[in-house]
Amino acid sequence: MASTYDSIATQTLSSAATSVTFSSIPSTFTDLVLVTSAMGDSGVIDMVLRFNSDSGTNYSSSRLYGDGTSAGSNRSINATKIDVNYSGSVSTTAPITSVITIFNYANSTTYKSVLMRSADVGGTYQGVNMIASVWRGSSNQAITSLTVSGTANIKAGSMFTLYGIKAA
Amino acid sequence: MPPVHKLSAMGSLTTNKIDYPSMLAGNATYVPPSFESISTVNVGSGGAGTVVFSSIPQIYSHLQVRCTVRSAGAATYGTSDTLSLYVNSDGSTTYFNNELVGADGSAGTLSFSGTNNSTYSSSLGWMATSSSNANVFSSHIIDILDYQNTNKLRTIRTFSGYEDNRNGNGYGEVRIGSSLYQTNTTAISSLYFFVYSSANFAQYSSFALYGIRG
Repeated sequence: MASTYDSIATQTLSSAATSVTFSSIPSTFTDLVLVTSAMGDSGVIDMVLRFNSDSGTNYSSSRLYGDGTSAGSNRSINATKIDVNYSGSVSTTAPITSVITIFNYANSTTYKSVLMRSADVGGTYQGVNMIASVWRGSSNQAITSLTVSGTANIKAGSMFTLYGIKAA
Repeated sequence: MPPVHKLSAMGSLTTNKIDYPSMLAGNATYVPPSFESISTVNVGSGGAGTVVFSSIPQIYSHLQVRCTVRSAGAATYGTSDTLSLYVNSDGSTTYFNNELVGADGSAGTLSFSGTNNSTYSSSLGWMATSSSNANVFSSHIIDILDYQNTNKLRTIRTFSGYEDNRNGNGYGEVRIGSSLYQTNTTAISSLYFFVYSSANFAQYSSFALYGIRG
């Protein structure tokens, strides 16, 4: 019996880089799960997620957060990316960890929905986040690549693993 | 036990034979996957009033349902409806639902609620409807831990959300929820999903049930 929850690829940065891309993602799974553990290289950075190199205003997100003092929510629509962390939270020493699920990524009929949990621990903002997002790609295109980009270099040693989950 | 021979590794029946001491014949022991697909329902063009997983095998430690859904009906509240669940076909006043929600029409709001003695599990999250933007589906990850243990009540844990990318009449939310099923400690053998308003699930809604081994 084939495994249902498979590792597709892992990228651990051997040197600092501004982005990490998983391309030619096989269409054989039902959902994707991206796990990140990443730091800023020379200062606090932010990280964003995009699909199929689309930087158009095709993303929107709702976020629920708690920062140790308060809890709240906010929202962005017609955005050019999905924020993986809250502003100013990816430090040089403590990795932001996130688990990002992308549902039904290979279909070409619906928009692609995303659920994410992330923890920011070392930057100017510290807290936990839960985020629901949608990507309205042109013609509901299947996701074949995804890119996590930093506002500045992502530190060497940062790790990104992409998994696939296959339904019967 | 006499030696075992693997035909695919033999030169012939009489020469170049490799003797294996066990029935594995040099093959690795089969280890079933820890996360296994049990069943999937993809809603077709006519829609579906309910989605049911029955006769769930009692061989796993935990269950997980991953679904993307949309109601074919109009919204019950705002642009949304509620993804709802009966456990073991039980619609009695047995569910204790708790939710924490970040939701938004145009400005951020945070809410939490708890309701006991509900007749269904209502904390699975709000779902997109025909009042939502086209092609928008809500996503839900539903965990039922230790589902076959007959010594404890069961909690249904959910992480869900959706975005329809509109202000004003639009809606986006992210939600965590739990439902305590209080009727009895009988093992969970069926899950019965429905739209709260009794509308159909829209075409392209999909539900996948997985088993997780301990």
